[in-house]
Amino acid sequence: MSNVNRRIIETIEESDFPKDIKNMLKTLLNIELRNSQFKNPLYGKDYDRAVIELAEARHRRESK
Amino acid sequence: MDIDYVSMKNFRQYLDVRIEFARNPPKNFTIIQGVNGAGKTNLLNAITWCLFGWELHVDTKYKGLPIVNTTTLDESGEDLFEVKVEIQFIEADGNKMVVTRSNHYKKGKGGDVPEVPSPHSLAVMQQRGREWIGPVYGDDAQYIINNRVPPSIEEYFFFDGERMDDYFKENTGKDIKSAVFEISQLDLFEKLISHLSARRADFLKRAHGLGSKAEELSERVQIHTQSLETDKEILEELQLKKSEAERLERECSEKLKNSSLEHIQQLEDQRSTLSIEISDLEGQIAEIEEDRLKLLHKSMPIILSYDALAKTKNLIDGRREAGLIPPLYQRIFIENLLRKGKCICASDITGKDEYSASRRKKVETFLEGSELSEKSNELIESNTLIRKMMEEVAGFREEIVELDKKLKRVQEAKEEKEKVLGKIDQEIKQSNVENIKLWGQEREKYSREKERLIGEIAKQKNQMERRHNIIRATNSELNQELRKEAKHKSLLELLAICDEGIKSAQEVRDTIMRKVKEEIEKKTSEQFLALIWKKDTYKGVCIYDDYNISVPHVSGREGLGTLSAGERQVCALSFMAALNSVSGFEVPIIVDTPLARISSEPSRNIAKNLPNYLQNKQVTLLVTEKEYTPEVAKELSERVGKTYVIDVIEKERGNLAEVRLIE
Repeated sequence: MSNVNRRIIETIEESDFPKDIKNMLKTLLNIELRNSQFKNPLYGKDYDRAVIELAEARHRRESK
Repeated sequence: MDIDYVSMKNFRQYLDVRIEFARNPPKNFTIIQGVNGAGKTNLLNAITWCLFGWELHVDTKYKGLPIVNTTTLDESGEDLFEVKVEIQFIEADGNKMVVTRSNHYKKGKGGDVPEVPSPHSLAVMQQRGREWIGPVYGDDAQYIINNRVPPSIEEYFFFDGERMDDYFKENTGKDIKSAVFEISQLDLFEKLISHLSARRADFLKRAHGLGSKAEELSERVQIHTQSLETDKEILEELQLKKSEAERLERECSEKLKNSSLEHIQQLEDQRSTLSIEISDLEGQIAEIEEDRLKLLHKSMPIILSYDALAKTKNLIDGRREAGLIPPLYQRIFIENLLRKGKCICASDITGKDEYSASRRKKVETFLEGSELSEKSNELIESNTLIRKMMEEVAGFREEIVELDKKLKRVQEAKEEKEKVLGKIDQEIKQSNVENIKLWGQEREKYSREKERLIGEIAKQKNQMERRHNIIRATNSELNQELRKEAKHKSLLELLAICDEGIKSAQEVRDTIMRKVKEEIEKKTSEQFLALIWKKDTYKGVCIYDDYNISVPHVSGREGLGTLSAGERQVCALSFMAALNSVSGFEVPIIVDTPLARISSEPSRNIAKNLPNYLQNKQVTLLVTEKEYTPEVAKELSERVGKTYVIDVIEKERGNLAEVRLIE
């Protein structure tokens, strides 16, 4: 199984975006890479899960 | 991902050859040396044929010929002949992947060698820890390979040095740009942005349907709640006034009762008794009216739908009497009978005789009708319910007539008593005694006022009840809206996260594109200037945004068009090295005749500098003796892990190649 190009990961890490957005981008890139190895991938649920998890994590942080 | 070995069987001049490649940095360079025509290019062709089913560069003398080794084909007594190339890769995590492509050929008439198609021509086996997955064949196998080495970028890893200068012909920028895009995996960003935008559109669509009325409803609740407070105050005021009127009425009655006139006292006593009786009758009227209302509420829905209920009942009864409703039985019971091979009457239905077959068919018909049987149960239950409902309203007419009669009787009794009471009041008001007359008049006035206030209080209570109902209903609607609003809010949050994600992905993509282009330009330029032998002739190499290349001369004019073939090759080598070093893509590099057009001193210079630009890359150089001079070999010695020589064995019908490890 190949990995997301390390240059991409480094650029994301070096950027000024919030940490949770960086993590979401990395998750989504891995989903794209994994799905590119299947012929008829479905994206909706994986993407929804990543976005909803980020929203929930933000809520948890705000409520602390 | 490195190549561990390549094995070739009957592929062009390779009869049965296995080459193991150097893999451990820094000694991860493999040199394969051979004279022109020995089979260097066909080794590269064997690799691309195995991976993609095509050959990178077919020499003129092989054009139109099948890949099968014709010499051995002729010598073989077999009719069917196999050509096979196998490559074992080792991935960064240590897992192996074996790609095998094999074609079968048979001897045809007139020297033809037709291919025998096979669905398992291409196979991939993948290692995952201790286990091996596969083999995977055909399109699925190709899919796995294409994800490791996309065919569109294959020529940027497996180069034919003789054709390298073709890369910098005019208008190739678009192809190079798209190759850089794929090499750097920037296509993943395009897919990510597209899919995240699709999710965003979906969240937006869902949020549109949830526009909230919560604020408006909340205001409505507030207004009605405030009005209810005012209503309460008015009600309290009315009740106070009513109490006051009652008190004054009672005072007048007391005065009249305590008067010194015996006749008036008697009238007041009568009046008092009548008032109690009237009040009692009023209670009875209220009770009868309530009973009447209850009876109407209970019976009216059935009465209004009586005709339809009766028709349904008649219909079901009619069908049942005619035997049109299937009998009630459980599907599982019939299934059990069929499994046991028994009829309902316990006779055997597994025999081949006519009787047994007809019984079995009958049981099977029951199985087909099992769903209808379940429905018939519902029909019978419904009919029982309808019958009960119709029985409930059978006595409605008598009950309502009886209640009406009772009500009329009590109302008449009450009117009678009120009439007597009115006469008593009239008599008191017409008294000759002034005080009696006045008290009588005042009592009547207060009584009227009390009645008026009772009416007002009832109206006020009704209004408050209506307002309560409005508040209850609005609150219920408000709660629904608040739930919708919460959902709406959370969808808007998801929408904002999508926007944030899309924007970030675009920024990262643009940053990488810019950085990659700048780095490729910088490294290509540095490498070109380090490798080129005409020092101080060119300023360097410029790469435009569209990835078209310019090599400006020190004089300022464009130099790309006037570069010699050797200079073009250096430029191409510099670009390929830069591209590989910058991309981060983990594919080994194989270059066929990298120094063919370059003279000895510049070759040594290239050999000295090129490895610096291919750090940690597994590199294989297919070279002639002329290219791989002792000076070049010395410069590369610290990086070379394995060196092979291709020996040519001359045969009558074509040469064969054998590969020998020399160090």
